[in-house]
Amino acid sequence: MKLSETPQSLRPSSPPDLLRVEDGYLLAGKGQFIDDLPSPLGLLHAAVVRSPIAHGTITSVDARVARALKGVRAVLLAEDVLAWSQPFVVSVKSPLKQYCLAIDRVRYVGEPIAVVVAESRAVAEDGAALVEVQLEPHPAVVDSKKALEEGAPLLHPEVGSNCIVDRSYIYGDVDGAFAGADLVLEEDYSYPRNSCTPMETGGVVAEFCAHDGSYDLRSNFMGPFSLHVVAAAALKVPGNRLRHRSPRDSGGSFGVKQAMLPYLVMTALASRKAGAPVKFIEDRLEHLTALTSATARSTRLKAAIRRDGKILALDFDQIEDCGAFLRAPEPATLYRMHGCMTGAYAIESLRIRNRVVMINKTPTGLVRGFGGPQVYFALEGMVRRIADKVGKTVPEVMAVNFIQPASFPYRAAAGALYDSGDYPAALTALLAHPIYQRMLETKRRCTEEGRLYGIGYAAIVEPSISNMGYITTVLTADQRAKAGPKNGALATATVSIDPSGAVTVILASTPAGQGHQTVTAEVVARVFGLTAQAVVVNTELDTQKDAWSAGSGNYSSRFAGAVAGCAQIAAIRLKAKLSVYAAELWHCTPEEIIFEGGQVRSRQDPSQAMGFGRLAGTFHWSPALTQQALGTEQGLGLRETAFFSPETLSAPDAQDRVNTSAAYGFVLDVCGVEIDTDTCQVRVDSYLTIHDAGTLLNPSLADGQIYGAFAQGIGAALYEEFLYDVDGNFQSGTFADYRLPTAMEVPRPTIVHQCTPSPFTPLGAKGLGEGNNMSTPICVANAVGDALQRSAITLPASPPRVHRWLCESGAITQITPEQNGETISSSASEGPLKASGSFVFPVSPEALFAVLLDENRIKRIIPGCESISARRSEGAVHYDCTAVIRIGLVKARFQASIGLTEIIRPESLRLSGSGQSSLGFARGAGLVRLVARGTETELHYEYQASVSGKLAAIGSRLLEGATRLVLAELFRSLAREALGGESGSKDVALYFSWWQRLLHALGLRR
Amino acid sequence: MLREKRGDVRILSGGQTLLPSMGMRVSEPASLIALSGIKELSLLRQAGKSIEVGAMVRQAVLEDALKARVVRHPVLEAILPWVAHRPIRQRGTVCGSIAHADPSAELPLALLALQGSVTAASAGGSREIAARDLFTGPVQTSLRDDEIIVTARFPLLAPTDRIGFAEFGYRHGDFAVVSVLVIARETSTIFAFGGIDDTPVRIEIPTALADCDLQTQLTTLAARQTVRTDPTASADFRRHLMTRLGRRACLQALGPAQIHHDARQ
Repeated sequence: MKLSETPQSLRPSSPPDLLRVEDGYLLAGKGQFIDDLPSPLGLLHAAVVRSPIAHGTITSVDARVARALKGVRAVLLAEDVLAWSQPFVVSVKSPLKQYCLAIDRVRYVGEPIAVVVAESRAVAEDGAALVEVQLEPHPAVVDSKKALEEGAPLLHPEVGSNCIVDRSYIYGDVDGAFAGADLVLEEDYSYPRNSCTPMETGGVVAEFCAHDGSYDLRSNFMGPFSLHVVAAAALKVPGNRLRHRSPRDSGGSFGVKQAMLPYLVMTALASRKAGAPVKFIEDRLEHLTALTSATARSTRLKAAIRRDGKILALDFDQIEDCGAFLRAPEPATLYRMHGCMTGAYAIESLRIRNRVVMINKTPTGLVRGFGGPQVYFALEGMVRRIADKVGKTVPEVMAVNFIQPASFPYRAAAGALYDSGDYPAALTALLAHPIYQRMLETKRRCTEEGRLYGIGYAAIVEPSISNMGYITTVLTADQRAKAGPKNGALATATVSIDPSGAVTVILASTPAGQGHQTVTAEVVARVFGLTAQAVVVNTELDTQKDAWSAGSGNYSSRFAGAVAGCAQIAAIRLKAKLSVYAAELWHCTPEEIIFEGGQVRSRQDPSQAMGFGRLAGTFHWSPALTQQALGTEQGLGLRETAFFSPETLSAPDAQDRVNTSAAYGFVLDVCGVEIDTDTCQVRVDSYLTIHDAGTLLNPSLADGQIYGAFAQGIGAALYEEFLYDVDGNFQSGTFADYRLPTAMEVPRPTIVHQCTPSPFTPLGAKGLGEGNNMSTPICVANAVGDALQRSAITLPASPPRVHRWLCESGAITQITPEQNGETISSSASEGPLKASGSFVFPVSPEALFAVLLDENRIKRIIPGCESISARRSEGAVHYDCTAVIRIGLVKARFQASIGLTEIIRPESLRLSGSGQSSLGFARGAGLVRLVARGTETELHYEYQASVSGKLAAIGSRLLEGATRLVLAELFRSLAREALGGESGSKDVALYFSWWQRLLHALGLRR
Repeated sequence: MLREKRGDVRILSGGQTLLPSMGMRVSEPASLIALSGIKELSLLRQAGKSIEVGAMVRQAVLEDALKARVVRHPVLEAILPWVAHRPIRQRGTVCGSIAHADPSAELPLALLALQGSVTAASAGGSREIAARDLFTGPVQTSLRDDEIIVTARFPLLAPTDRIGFAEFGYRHGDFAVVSVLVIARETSTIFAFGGIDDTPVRIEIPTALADCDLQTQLTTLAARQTVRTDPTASADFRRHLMTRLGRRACLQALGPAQIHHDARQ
């Protein structure tokens, strides 16, 4: 094992000035992204009509007005989807049906309902606003624990429960370990919803080919290409009739472009409906609202501990929020980590209960770090707790529990076969590192000065090159036997040499900026003794022409370990052919042929040499000669496609043990944070991250991966979270609300590399792209916990949360607001907007009622009311109206219905209303009581309002103020109208003084 | 045109809020009137006891003019680096920010704290609106549909005035969760808070800052004010920030060297 601190120089075979091949064209603006590709003739554009609410029945969708708009060419509806497609297949068998559009019911904000296809995106969006969708809202459930409760709203009545998976696993003697433990610790952990947000959103160009019923797609879908099978099945065509082409460049993916799957099918069907090619490019709001998310997880973790801190057994009870549908490959977030749930520790006994729950949020899927942070947040939080309890430091507890270097390959309790590692050496390196020493010193000093400084640790095992079979661990052994075994992960690469002797590599790795071209060129050039610049790597993928398999794609950190190795295997095969021919020529053995500096020569006789290109060219220009030398089988052609699947990846066994990945890297992090008690902000003071990813193929790109994952880890730790209110309204639709950290917020970590090569991958390399997504949120959380001396930390550790914790610990004193008479209280934090208050109107109750029950007069009091009609029944009046609400720049035309029920004239009534506009849905209900006070009326009210859709997603910061503003406007008009009615002419002075008081009460002006 | 189309037309100056709103289709005006071609609106000068800023003066232009000492105003100099990011300030205008009246924005806060005013013009003439009458609610002003702000007027400080400014946002360039501007006058102190309510808030107390018990004064202010809760921050957290940032701002105003604000760029 070697230790080296970055930066390292590039490997000897690549000249030190070799920059990333990709950077030249990317920096010059010559990238080829999905939206840059030349448009097919007659290309149309799609805009999606989406659900503004979290849960409801679709009572009608009327696209006639939209269809009539000039430039709109088609509208894809649920009925088309039912006719032309089948539900998406998932690994869990259940009656749940999922199509690319909502059928009959919507289950999350942003769920696609219809697709408008038009001559431009702008017209398509105009059209989308004209599609009239009638929804009948249902109560939503947005918390996975509440979704399990009796009587919780059901998302999929046909399933009978919101819990779609409930599986338990036992490895080893768990009960015995708990019975014999010195100490049992138990703790609840919950990990939030977040994502990694690529710069380029998702995009698809689809064309239905009517002549043979096939679909031709291009998109920045990133794989896994096992989902190509799912998409083809959904479109009811065999795989060869669903051509998918990936452009060269994808502007970041981090897992989330896996979730393009439903959009592939949706756009394909839109093209079929329109009879023309259709392009759909997600906008940022759509991307944040409705593409995908990492799962949120609630874990109750129990640990059986020996006095010295040794963990004897772990018991995980995990509740996974997968959103409104189980979307393939979910519930993979749970199972990707299944084999290695015991992390870096030698723990013999393990119990796991996994429950997968459907709630009214966006379906989840791949997000960089996939499943790692959810597990390590609990496991490493527990290690900190154990250290506290047994009176040791965290490194001491780690040392007691680490898997020892002599144990590799190590079989973990749940079946993972760890390939290599030296965890104690990493710990030794950490303890001796000057940065760590400085952290300890800073903490000592800060503690003396009364400042809040904490040190956090995280030791994580980073799986890469996943076993496709791991997902079937969700099935019982019997179900697996019926479904047939699934295991392995087939990687592929093709290397060819053309008649000029130039080398081209084709990869099925659909990169999104990682530098696959650069690394592959280096790996293949090294085989042939060429310069990396001489090798061209093509990363476009065409499912009709290129070698690919179910395991293809850009996921599970599989490039370095599997794909790059595959390219090397193919290159070595070609080199062998060239060697045989050269040996024949120069009368030596193939082993004596050397490839170096663009030349091929014989080791024995230096005069026997030839340029690489000339030798390779022989295979094209003189096939008779090469055929003679190598035989027909080997002697014709210079193109090799290699496939690779790690042999260690077998299917889950009868005891549910599964080797979930081929390689297991290791990351050991430590950080020091200081909490500013003024701003309640966590500042990362310094951060040390020690990585073992086996052989590093390109150290500077490796560091690039670490910096990127680290930045996203800081985001998850301190900034990013998808927020929903209790009604399921999404509130993080822009980068103002979904707080992605910028370069200003991300400190620079110090990276140390270890190297214990993997014995199971061709190049000895392991993945390292996800480690800090798994370790950094946890390391920072542990440091925050240490600084606050608090065990329960919720992420992100944002200033409002830290403020609450500081108040709870007494570190800061909460300020109690003074009550002042006539104000309106509201508490909009996580619930619907609620308010109550009372106000004196300068008129009689009867005068107010006279206004409320007369549609001609009420028309004058509803802000921006354009038209109104009334329906009357016993003790109730219903108004249907159109009203234009303007607040600042925002203007929305609402179709609203207002109900006055339970009318007890002139004492009280119940007021309820709902309105729908292209910007969202607004609902409110409240009780109004009128009490006569001489000539005046005291109006008491309480209401609850809920705003959804676009308004909530982008304007949550200002919603509460806006709601009060509308209320004020309403009261003002009511008073004016009532006064006018009562005195025959408006009493200006009375009205004016009253208006000033109202504004004051509403806090709108001082 | 403004009068004819009442509400269906928007003034485009810097466009840093309007254009994204249009992109997201929460704002769909039928017409835009761009002010960028009107030379007279680029006026930036000291006139009498105020700095006058025309409607097309970009925030970066004012920032640079202050740096170059073409005009001088410690308050504006302190707050401008906190207005979004420099690339946004390159396009965004001073008057545009005021007209938009975001409760967390720095420029409305400064205008109110300084008791400045704007000149609102319409086809029918022009009128002066004091800052306290201008901001009426969250992104609400007392401007009529047919009016535009042509000039904002920021009164100069007295030579003996000292100032302090502190702001907290979650990320560099974010809207303030809370911002505090303190102007210490010879016999009174002005506290102005942004981000706590529907509009910026100005409170003047008849005591010199040096004679205030900071802790008591700030806690009382924070307890008395109406402070809003929204998904970005609770009222409790905002009250806490009012006192702690308030303290930082007060110490700046009391300190020996004037303006210790972070050197945000």
